[in-house]
Amino acid sequence: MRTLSHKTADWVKNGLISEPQAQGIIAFEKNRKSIFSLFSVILFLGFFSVVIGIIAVVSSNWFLISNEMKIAGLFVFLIGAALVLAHVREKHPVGFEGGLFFYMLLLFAAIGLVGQVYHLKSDTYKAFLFWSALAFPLLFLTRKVFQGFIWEIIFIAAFSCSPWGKEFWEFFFETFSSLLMLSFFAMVLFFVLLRFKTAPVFIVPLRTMAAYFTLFCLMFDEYDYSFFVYDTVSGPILFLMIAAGFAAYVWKYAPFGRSEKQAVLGITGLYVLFYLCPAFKSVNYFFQLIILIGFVFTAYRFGSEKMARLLAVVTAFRMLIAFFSLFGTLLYTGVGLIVSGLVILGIAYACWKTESYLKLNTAGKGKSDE
Amino acid sequence: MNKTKILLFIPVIILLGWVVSIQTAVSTGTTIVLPVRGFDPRDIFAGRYLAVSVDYGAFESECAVKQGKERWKKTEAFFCPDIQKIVLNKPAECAVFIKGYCRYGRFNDNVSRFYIPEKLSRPLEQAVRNPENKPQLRLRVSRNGRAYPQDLILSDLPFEQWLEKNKSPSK
Repeated sequence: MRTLSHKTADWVKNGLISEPQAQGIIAFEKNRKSIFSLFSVILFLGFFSVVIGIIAVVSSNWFLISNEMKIAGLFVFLIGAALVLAHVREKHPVGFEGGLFFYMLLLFAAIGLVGQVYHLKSDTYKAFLFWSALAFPLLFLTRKVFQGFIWEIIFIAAFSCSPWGKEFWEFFFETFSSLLMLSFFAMVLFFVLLRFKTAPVFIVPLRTMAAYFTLFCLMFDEYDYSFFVYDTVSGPILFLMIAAGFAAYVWKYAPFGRSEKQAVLGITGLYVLFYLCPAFKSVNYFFQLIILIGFVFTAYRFGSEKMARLLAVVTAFRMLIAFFSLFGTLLYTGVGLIVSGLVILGIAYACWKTESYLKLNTAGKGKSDE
Repeated sequence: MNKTKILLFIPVIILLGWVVSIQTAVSTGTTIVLPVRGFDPRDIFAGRYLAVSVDYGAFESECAVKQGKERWKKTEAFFCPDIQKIVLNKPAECAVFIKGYCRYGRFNDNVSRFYIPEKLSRPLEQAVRNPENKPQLRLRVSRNGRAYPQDLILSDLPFEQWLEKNKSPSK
């Protein structure tokens, strides 16, 4: 309550609200019922003890319970949970989301239980893939992107560990053996999904993972990226065809503004140029840095200042990685540490200056657009 | 039934179908008993179990003979209890068979684990390792050649009876 008093006083001081309004807000918050009332805490403790007690009794007698009883109990529990969830969906949306998460976990427990009862041999990836299939319909019921993240991460990991996934990745890495290409494909996926408004539970996690993966692949030194190091022609041809297809899509069909299109096409051009250059460590580092800086500008073009700042930090981080790998031996000396510190300060200053320039540039562009 | 209920019940129906299919295969399967070897690891998802493998070393096998140079490849094979032999091409007279594959000259089936009570893991592991106890697994084999472990047999007794019989007097 003290924090609220401070906040309201600050708002009053800055003319955001009047004094009576501040008093009204404080009075409202004081009279609001807290979920941590004495009654609710005691109620929770009671339920918690009963539930833990039941779990303990069942666990200690687990092998005295017949297999038929276990399977019957499982289905009674699943059906009960499904009915309760259906009942509370409209009335208690928050409770429904929490319940749905536990229902998903329950499905995994169910797979484990059936496996135990029938002594089934199974690879771990099969259990996770089966769970993905079972939990998939539930994603149509949730509004929480978090559940989509969990499902997609588990599905991708399970698929990647499966024989089909291994075959897919083997083919992929034989055809496109470079991190640069992975970064490019992830970026393509990101921009294709960027303006999708439907099915956020599926789209947002995929888009976010694509963005992280794009940046992640630009963080490491590599030498195998170049057009000149390929033995086969299928990889380079496919890469260039995909790049051309993506550029055509952006120019003709993508729901982007003109300046946004220019930024995306610029980045695509950088990837292609990078790919056509000879493979040297310095070239690799230079282009990775240029692409990352290109992403900072693109984020500004898309009107996301926050993202641009984050990308500037990522760019600085990439510079630091390169710096440490170059002057690593100096780190054992005080001079190395001083130089590192000065470089960090320099990067911070450059970020600050770039940000000011971009802000000015964006403001100017906004005025000229008007 | 509204959309919410349908979506919530789809996983239950799939799980039910899975359980029914396994139970049908087990119920209609043929019982066979085979010698096993085993030890007791843990599974973070499913608990304590005996890792068992049927001891096919006692049976005649075509795995080593007919697999040739490509020993690393998985080649489909069958264990036929009627003729007590592992064959690469299932003979017509083999009514009951366990389907598996040959690799590096050895036959692998889908039987690898038998879940046991937590408290019994140590005595059972010791018992299974002792050949004098003649450790065996009672299996139900479905028509398509999948084997489902039913019971662990020690000295011709189900493991629970064997444990009862071999209880040390001090306890």
